[in-house]
Amino acid sequence: MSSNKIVLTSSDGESFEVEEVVARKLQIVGHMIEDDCVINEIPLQNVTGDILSMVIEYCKTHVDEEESEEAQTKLKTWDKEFMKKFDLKTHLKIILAANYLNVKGLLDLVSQTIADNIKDYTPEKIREVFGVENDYTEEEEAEVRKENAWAFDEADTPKP
Amino acid sequence: MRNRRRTYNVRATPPSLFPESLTVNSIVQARGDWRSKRKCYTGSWDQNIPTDLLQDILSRLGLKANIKASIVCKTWLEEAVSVRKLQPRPWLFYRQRRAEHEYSPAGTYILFDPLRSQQYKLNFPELERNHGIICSRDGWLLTYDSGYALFLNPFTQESFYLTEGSPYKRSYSLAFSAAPTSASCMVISYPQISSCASVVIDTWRPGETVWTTHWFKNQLPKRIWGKCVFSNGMFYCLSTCGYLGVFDPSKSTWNILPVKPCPAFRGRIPVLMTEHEGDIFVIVYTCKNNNPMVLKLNFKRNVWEEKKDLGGLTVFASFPSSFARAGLSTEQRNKICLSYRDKCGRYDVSYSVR
Repeated sequence: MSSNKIVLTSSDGESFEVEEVVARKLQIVGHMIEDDCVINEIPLQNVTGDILSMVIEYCKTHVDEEESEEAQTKLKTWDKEFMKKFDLKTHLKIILAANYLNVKGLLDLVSQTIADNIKDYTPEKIREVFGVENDYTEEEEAEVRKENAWAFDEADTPKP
Repeated sequence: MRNRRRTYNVRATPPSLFPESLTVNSIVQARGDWRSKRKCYTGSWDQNIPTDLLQDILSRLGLKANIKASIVCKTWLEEAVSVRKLQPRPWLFYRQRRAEHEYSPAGTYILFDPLRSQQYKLNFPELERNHGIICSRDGWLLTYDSGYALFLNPFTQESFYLTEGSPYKRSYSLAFSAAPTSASCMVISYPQISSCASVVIDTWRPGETVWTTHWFKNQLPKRIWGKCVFSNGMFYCLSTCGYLGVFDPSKSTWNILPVKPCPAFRGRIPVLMTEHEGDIFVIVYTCKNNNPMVLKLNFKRNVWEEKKDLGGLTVFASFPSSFARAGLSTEQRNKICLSYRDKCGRYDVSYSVR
């Protein structure tokens, strides 16, 4: 494996020098390298430095995907701890970056983390944390709730 | 060098995903299937979440969480419905009645789909003896004859015997937590009648050569544990006096829940117990009264609450297993479908719960 260094530059001008094997974990970069091996500096305009550094940290840890069960368990524990460091707002920034940079493993990890976090939220709480506007009319919302009334705890159901 | 970068610009994917100008675009998209619709949300932190990512997140939710998420807004509803995990349809499995087909050999069974009114005739010579079907789950049946028990999957025709042992006692019944092919499967043997100083529960997992016996102090006087369901990792046994005993397989503990006794058993009227997505229901009905009583256990307040309806669920009732299903057609919701002849001699009756 070549030990070339590649410089990744974020939208806010922060530069990160990483090993080529790490940079290849970002498939967006991997494909560029395959197409043309002379690239050594890559501007990534849709990701800020703070988020890019998190993605790089993930890629560095996952650079050797060992297949042994022990290594896999260790990685899973690391993933869990890594995700715990950030709040939902950051998780959403990471998922956008992982999608743009095409880091499949990280995309799966953040997606699962967000799902695990929102699964016990009420619809009102989801709207609040995601900043989503409710576009149902009162009647429409009541109708959707009524169809599957069993899924809503009494506490979640607005009083008529 | 600059020329190289321009080459990548030419291959750019639709720029509407991100509002900023793209210097480098992803050549192979992560999700593979990029569709033309590109609805985005403006979140409170000024980030746009493409629907593909939202769909990926929602696809990881269970049925209940998915339905809750569909209340957020119309776009979330659309995405949630598109990735909603539907429950398998219920099937009814029963021995062919001799009166209808006198010449059919013993061991002829009918697999019936009540929603499509389709039926299949199957032959299970293993069940020729006096096997009773005790319970079913995940497509598997647990059948029992004096002395041994058999797991049977009528769909795949797989079957295997459980390890013999102490559990096959009179007045003991069996329940199981998951398909025997799954690593989480556990079978318990629980006493239907416990009148002595201890409650004895035996457990067995596929592959084990012996049953493990657990002794617990009997916290109640003589009790008949008439019903048992597995829900949320626990076995819940309902006594005919309305007490709910819980066996926790992970900690091997037995406790009586501090819930006011369930008012279900009065006399010998039929009582059904079923679970759905972590909720436990007890349903009492009489054929004279077409309005069954539906009780749901409120875990937070430790009480049985009487419900006006089934909250849109459909209950397929059979002794001893009953199933609840969500999301059936409007005509099928809030109904109890019986699979046996009731005391007034009616068969295949649907009760509407209003």
